[in-house]
Amino acid sequence: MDFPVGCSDDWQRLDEIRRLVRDTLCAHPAELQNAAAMTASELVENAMKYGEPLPQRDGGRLTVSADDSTITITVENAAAAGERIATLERSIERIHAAKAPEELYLARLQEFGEDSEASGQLGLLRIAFEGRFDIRCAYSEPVLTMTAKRVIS
Amino acid sequence: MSGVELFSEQALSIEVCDTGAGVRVTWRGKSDIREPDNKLIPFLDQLAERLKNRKVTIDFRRFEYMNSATVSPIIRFVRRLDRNAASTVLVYDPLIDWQRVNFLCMKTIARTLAHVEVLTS
Repeated sequence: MDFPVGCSDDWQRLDEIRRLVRDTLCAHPAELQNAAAMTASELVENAMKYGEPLPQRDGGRLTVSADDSTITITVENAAAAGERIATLERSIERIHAAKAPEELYLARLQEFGEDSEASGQLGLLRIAFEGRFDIRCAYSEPVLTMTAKRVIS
Repeated sequence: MSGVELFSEQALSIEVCDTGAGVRVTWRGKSDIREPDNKLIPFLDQLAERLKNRKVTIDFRRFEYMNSATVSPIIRFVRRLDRNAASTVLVYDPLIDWQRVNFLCMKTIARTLAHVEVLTS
């Protein structure tokens, strides 16, 4: 599924994207459908906010697949090399290094409470904690690929 | 304040109903808000100021979805109510997965606040 990036004009498509993800995973439990829909929505939001169109395409690309053991959600967009990619890689390393993603999530929420100006940087933590997806990123200039996987128990 | 007031942005609506004895703030719909600083945070900041020392119930049970950008404004609103000594009860639906997960975190935060309680429906 292609989606626009780098503009807010199609922000309202997020609800449609969540519905399509749920439809794709309709054979799975509702909790899994909703977790996957949230995960895809957060990743697509990030791509819309910060990304650029893929080479030879009008936008980014979302792929959702499932086999007997794993659900995989992939979002690809173009991005310039630089601090944002480095920050993203550090954030994901931090999630993987944490004993429990809920501790990072709660700590981030508490920062919101303590600093009224704090916001953002919650989406990846939410995917790991609330969605229970393993989140990874790969960057091969100019393409940024975000992959979220969840083992079906 | 008195009567009913409505905030809406995209598919999100927030109804503020003053019954005299207390104020019920009901969140409905879905929030995919991209820039909460533009409308949502100013609305909630002003509302928190007007609700000083009031009895407030914030009902999230009909709130179907929120993106991560919506979380910070909610926490900021709750903390401002607490600071303004508004006796605040947050009500959520534990059968909705995202609400159960996020409001359990909110319960932890509420333990650090003097005037805020988190309850299930």
